[in-house]
Amino acid sequence: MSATRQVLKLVITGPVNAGKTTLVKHLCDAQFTGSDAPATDEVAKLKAFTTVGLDFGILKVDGTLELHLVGTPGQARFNFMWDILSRGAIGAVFLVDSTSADSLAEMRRMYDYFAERVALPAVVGATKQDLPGARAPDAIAEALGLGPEVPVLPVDAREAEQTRALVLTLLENALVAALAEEEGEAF
Amino acid sequence: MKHLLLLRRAIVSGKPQRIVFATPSGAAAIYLARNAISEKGRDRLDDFWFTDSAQATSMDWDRAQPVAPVHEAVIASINRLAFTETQMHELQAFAAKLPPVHVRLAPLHRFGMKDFTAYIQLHSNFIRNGAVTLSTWLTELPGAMGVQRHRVFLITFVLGLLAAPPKEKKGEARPATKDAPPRKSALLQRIIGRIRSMR
Repeated sequence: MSATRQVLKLVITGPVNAGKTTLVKHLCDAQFTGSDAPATDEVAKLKAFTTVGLDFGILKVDGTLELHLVGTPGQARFNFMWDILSRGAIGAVFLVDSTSADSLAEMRRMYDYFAERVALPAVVGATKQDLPGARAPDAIAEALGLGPEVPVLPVDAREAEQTRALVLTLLENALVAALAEEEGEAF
Repeated sequence: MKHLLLLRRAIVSGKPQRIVFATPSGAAAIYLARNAISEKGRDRLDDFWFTDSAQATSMDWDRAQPVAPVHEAVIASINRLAFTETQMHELQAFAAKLPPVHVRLAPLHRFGMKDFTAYIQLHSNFIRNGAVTLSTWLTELPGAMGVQRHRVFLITFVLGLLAAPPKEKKGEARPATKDAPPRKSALLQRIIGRIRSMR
């Protein structure tokens, strides 16, 4: 009898130029597909190339379980994709550029949509904390109107160890929430 | 301390519930729904923490009822607790019955928690050791710092920020099958283990 194969998703989201593609790269081990295209419009002011479509990576957990990492496009106009992305997802990692007011405003549009429609554990990674003008994590939480369930943590998306620590915080939080919901005789 | 479990379960489930409990001046009630507590209930919380009798019932939520955010209400009420020796011993005896726990990280300082540093120490202890034995954590510091830890325990327990892995009796662990899919917590534990092993 063959064991049942199971696939879960982790969604990596947030505005353009916050480090989503890099985070997916740091976490996947089996595949990576992300298509870069020359940036246009406002995005061109931030970087020469941007992700078109989805970043996608697979982390093989063991023989029967895979974690699919899905990085969304960085614009709020793609919010409608949450209806599809949230199916089978275990959580969402939001990344925001701490130095950019535009990034924060776009993030607010993305997060408001998420908070209203999607019931998933979330964590916010505040990137570029080492740059001048970076807002502190608490100021970002305040600006985004985050509730008590969503921590904001500083993260350098270029550092694999830090991105994994961010994702582990999300997963540990999701685990405690799951255990509390499943709780029988343990407490 | 069964009343703490009743409140915790009501908050974690988010389903509308009414908890009636005894106070020195007679019975009082708190109403809870997802992330919300009735304003009248919020004002009675101070009498709840060491009640000796409580009962929970499911109910339909009265939408006209004024409500407050439950996290802030619980934190504000527990912030005011100073604890008698007896109350601290009650909490310690309750904690001693709990298995080692996992700790969830939440930005409670933004919602009024005054003992946030002690909470971060609890979370760090969990990250370092994989689980925290609460009875030890509660009693290892004397004086004001010990009191802080009791407040942190009460807040995090009631808000569902502490949880224990399920007890598995010998031979009870079951492989995933179509009929009995693995629990979400078991899947998360496997993913966490895999990411921890990445270097």
